[in-house]
Amino acid sequence: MRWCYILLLRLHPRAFRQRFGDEMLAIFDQQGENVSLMADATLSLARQWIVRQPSFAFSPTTAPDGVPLFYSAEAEIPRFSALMPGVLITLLAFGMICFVIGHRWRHTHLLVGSHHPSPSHLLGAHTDAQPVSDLPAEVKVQPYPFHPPRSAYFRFLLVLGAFDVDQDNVISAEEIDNAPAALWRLDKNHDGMLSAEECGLKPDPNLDPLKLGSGRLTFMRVHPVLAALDANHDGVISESEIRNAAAALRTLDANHDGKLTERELLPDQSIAMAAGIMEMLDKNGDGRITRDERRGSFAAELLDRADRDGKGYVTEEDLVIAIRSTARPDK
Amino acid sequence: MLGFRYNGSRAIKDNLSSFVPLSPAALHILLALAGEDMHGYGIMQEVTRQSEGVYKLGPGTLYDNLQRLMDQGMVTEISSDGPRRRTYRLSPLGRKVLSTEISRLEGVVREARVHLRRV
Repeated sequence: MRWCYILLLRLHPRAFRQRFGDEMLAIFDQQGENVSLMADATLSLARQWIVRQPSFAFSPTTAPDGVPLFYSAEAEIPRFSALMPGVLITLLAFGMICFVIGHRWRHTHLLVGSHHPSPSHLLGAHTDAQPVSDLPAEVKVQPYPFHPPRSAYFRFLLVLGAFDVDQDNVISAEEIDNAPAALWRLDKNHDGMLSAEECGLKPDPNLDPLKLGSGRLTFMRVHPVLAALDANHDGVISESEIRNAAAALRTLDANHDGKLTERELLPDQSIAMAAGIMEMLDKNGDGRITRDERRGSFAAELLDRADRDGKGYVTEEDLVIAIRSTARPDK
Repeated sequence: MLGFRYNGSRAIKDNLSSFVPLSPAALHILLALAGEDMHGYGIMQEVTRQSEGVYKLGPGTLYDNLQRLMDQGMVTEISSDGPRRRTYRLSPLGRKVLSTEISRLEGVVREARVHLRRV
């Protein structure tokens, strides 16, 4: 608190500070840390700058002959050292505002500019028509420039991001037709096929090769769009499967409206959860969780329920049934 | 303390009338120094004692008023034991102004008593 008090004293006008600053600090030291002294110093600071400063007393006066007189403030130009704190505070505030705008995270109310900086809302002005003399340029503006936020699922699955060119979280009929071309763009190693990693899987680099292989298969099987594209379920989307991508995508169009929405593409939660449990507990990768493997695990109760017929192991199908019955116990 | 200007006493000299009425802080400071010379902390303690703890003067208010009283010649600085401890004294002008203010306040009190008896 003493440092705060010293700071308040240093903010006083120089003349007052040099004359009484030491005495005020001595009184502060004698009285001990006291909130009322801080309040008194704050009031004093405002009083000395606002009321007592002679510069505030400048006012035009009228001479006896009626001609108004004015004071010149040239001699009262602030010192350089007095201006520097203002400069520093301004720069600090400007930097903070720029930082907040640049790192607005998910706070859209802090956004300055466009929600979608790329592609631009201004469409290309291509036309075959002859230029009109009084209309030298044509600018087309999208009728509804504010797209909904990009779906997290479309960002996660690279194939969906590649399909959804206009980023409206819907794969339109035109985008379905262009699906093979979009998939070719994902083939980074140009081997003519798409692996799970090229479709969006980000495995732990230290993962056991056996677990990595089963993880790739699970990844390709759990996501409906990948399962539809990988027709033979071998864990990769081959060249022929890429060519047949449009037809494969149309099989997912549950409501037959010609386009695919996120609702039609999201994986079944029960299947995804069962696949996740299998990945974690099926140590030998044989597609079964035995009693030894499930003993003491976090999902032991669920696995016991899944092993209803007492055969001693649980398959992924058993798990799916158990999870669905847990979610809907009445059915 | 009393927030209105009193113009009733013709005995107040013109050069002193410009100083009154005194603000409560200035009045208490002059009263504190009327007894003996004091340093800032002593003035604060004396003001608290005189007002029986009702009026407490902070250092900011004290030195703001001391500066004005010194500028007006009512208080002088007589000695210094370093920058942290200076002693102040009531000047002859300050004593006259204080006497004038006390006379003015006595008149106010007298008028007030008369009016209160009528109620």
